[in-house]
Amino acid sequence: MHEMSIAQHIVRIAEEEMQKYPGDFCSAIHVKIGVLRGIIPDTLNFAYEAITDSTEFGATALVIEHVPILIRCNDCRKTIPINTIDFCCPFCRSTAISILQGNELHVDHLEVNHGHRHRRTKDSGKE
Amino acid sequence: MDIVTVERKILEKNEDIARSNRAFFKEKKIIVLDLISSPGSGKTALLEKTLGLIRDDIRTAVIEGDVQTDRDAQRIAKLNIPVVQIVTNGGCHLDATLIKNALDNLPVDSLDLIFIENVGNLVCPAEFDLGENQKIVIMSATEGDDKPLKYPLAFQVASTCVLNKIDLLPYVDFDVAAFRSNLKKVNPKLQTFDLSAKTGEGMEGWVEWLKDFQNQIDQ
Repeated sequence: MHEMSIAQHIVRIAEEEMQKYPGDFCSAIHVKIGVLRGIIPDTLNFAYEAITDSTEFGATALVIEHVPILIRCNDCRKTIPINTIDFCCPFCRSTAISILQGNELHVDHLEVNHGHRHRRTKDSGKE
Repeated sequence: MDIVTVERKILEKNEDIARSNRAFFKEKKIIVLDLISSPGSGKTALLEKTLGLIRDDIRTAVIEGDVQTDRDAQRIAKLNIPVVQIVTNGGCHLDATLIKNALDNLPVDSLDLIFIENVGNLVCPAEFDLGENQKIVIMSATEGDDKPLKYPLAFQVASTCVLNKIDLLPYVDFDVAAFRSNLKKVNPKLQTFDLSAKTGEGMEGWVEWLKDFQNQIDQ
């Protein structure tokens, strides 16, 4: 359950960024979390909502991009998306692989609105 | 509506404090090893056995992390080793700030080595840099030999893996060859020690390595 700590760090970063836009409202925080991080998006959302309820982010959606794992085989030179980690190339079984994607853990961008706040809904954060 | 690009690491604050911890340890010439594992792998037993073997050569302290109780710290304190217990009250891992604060209660000017015994958990502690020299992942022969594949991050952030409870290998289904192969897949650079903290088998190699590590820092 380190999702709670992760949620606190996300909110801290969003608070710091929003200080640059006094009077404006953050409608969504977009984060990128790689699958390899072992963070469960639903749990992170639950933690985020629990700590932001009745705060300035109470109506701000957390939008999680769960970044899939992408590896490159250094022997057969293929770039391959994988779901579960076997840590070897599914084509040539080589273990000489590089992880290109899947370790992300950052706040990517914020949606900043001028004017009134809206209540958090299931649709917040969607384009 | 404006899109504001942020691109900041979520754990940047923890990383900042970990960096300052690391600089502090370097200045004081203290080696710091963070032990991570599932609950019950024998971290505390390994510490007890190790402390008994190195105490005349390496001035060592221990930081214990647990969700509740100071039972582990009591075990270490019996050996007359400086120890700080961090009780996380539900928190599933230690972070760099907790370590920084714990240092106030340790004799940092007369130490060569600090062992951090993280909260028993193979998921969350892997994510948090504490400023240590190395994370050491402890496994035991009563666990599954496929754990490196199931909890890859823990084995990727570690530089050393200790397989404990090898005295039980004849009685369990743990396949050492399969375990080695799984480790190699996840982290080919991992150095490994096989030992039993209970019987003492395999402890020499581990203790030698600790002494060598300390000599390197001293030079």
